[in-house]
Amino acid sequence: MDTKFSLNDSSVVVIVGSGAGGGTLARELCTRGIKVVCFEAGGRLQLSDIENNPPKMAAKMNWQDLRYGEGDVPKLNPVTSCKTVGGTTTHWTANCPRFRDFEFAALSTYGQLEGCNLADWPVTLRELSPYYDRAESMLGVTGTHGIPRLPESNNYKVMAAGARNVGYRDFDTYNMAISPIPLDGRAPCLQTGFCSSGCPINAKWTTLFTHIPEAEGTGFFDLRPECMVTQVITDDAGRASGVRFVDKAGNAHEQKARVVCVAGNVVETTRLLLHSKTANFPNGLANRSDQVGRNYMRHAATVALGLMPGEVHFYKGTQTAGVIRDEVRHDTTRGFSGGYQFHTLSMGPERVAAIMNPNGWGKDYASQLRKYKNVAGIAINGEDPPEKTNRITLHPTEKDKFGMPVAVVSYRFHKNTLAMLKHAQGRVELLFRSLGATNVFFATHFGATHNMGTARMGLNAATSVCNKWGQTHDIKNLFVSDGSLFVSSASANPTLTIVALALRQSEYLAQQMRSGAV
Amino acid sequence: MSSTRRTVLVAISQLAAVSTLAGCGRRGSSDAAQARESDVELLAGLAYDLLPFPELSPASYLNAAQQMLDLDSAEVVAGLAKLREVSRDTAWRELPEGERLALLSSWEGNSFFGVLRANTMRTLLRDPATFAIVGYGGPSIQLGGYLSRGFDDIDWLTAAPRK
Repeated sequence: MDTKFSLNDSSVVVIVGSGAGGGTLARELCTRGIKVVCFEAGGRLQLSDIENNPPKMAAKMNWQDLRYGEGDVPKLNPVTSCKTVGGTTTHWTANCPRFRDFEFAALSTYGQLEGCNLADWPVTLRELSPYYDRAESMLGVTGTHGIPRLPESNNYKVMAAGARNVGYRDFDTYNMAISPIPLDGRAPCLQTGFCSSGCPINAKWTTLFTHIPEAEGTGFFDLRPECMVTQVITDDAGRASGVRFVDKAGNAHEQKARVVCVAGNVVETTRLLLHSKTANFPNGLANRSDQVGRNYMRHAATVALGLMPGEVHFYKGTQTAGVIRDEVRHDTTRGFSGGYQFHTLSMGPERVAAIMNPNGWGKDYASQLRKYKNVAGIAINGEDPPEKTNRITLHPTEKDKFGMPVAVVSYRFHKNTLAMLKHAQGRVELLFRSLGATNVFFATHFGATHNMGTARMGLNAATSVCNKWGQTHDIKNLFVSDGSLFVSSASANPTLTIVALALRQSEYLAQQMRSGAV
Repeated sequence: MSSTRRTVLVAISQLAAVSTLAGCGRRGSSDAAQARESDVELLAGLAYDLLPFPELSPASYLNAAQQMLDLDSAEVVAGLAKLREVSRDTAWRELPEGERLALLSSWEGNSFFGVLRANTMRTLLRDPATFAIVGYGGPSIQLGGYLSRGFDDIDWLTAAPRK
């Protein structure tokens, strides 16, 4: 097959995945003159491939391969993640909050919750701040670096009016990687309303149209789309020596590597590490701690729709440009540990119908759907405590077309999550009803787009997979570069933190390579 | 049965007849065509009762029926046969509304009904012809998004909380 760098070139860094983690890492290494081969299981979309059509775009962007869900998640499609150049940054709705300092110190702040596996991050907010700063600049985050926030949409105005009524004070149109002014060659937002199906005018930041072309511009980048990595190969000395991959035509090859960085998002990173087991690593790669796949977190999350007394047309505009931050604090008088945020959320009639009544039909149902124009939407995103039993494992018998075992995503709500959701739902009811809402609908079971924790960082190799740089404890030249690293979920959407960690990791990795340590 | 419902169901059956006959010449068998016509008409009638929008063109209900048949599902075929048996082979549009709704209610919870309902909702709510009915603007980039088309024009929010 045609490649920029030879399959036998063992001086390259292999990165698996081209999303927030992999794409950022690739750009940073390439701009330092380090050769990178980046494998992406999916294809590469052009801007003209992006259309305002959620089902069509899901077919183009999302992982469609079989994954099973067990517990409090859908049985099929328990996770929504993307298989395309740019990864899930093609789908995300661009919310960019930073973690709070107490959220990095989850164990110290909350204590060990019953049945949980809480730990503190081996990184503090202070240490990550310069990288958050740089990430916000690169992504063009509104509300930072002098970038103005987006204007207030109808759905936002509903949430804000309700927020005032219930006594909240910290709310605005959010820190977004979507701007009302042109930035770095990206278009200003036109309030199209289809953010999660890809932005057809490139107003929303994605590695597909930023870090990937920037890496290509350096001459040190070899992107291989439609190539599925099926194994990380290790040698007798216990070092990663390369990867095995299957190309678009279905042929298997091996690419040698000096360093391997896995950034496949939580399900694929877990699957790859576990499936790459050998006699030396019988429990999977980097898994002497037995934590790979465990501590899976997806946020305490619920979606709420309010049937308002007037028209909202909430589909008009950026899907999640609004936040209330007042509940992002640790206050056990509320009956749970950790905090949560509210953010605006809009969606089309199909999903609204399913939330109003997943089994509805008939005249009354049709009448209710005619009120779609009166619907307002809010989502809750909260701290999700890690448990060893919430985990991603390999199916004992079923395999995919590459011969890799199918992933099983097992997750059950902790009672802290249930208490938090109950509180949050009560607050949303108050908020919507203070404006005259006649009905409020909730959904709690859906494919998660925030997936974290399955290769977590830590100082103790017995209870974590990676060190404070995302370097696996067991294999010096094997790194993890995506949200699998997270030690706690916090109440924050993960992407900004993934980018910040990748920026920091790239500095460390480059320095380790320069000094010959790796 | 209300006149609106009867009108819609009759229109569906007429359109089903026309579109199936158009395809019949190519396929050649009039028995198969009649069977197919009656499947399409039945499924379209069911789709209407599952999500009745009288102002929606019968073509949208027929499209939903076609999508269902294209699933090529043994469960759908078996379910339709059972339904015909239970309705004593009377055409769906000829059954009184009360009886149709009672039949549908009695099937709630079984997997054929589940497939019917899910597919009907998916097809109809993705059909641009339903967008105006529910008050959804649909694809917007071709018109420059909603920045100057009312994304912030809400006018009924008052300063004080309602009792």
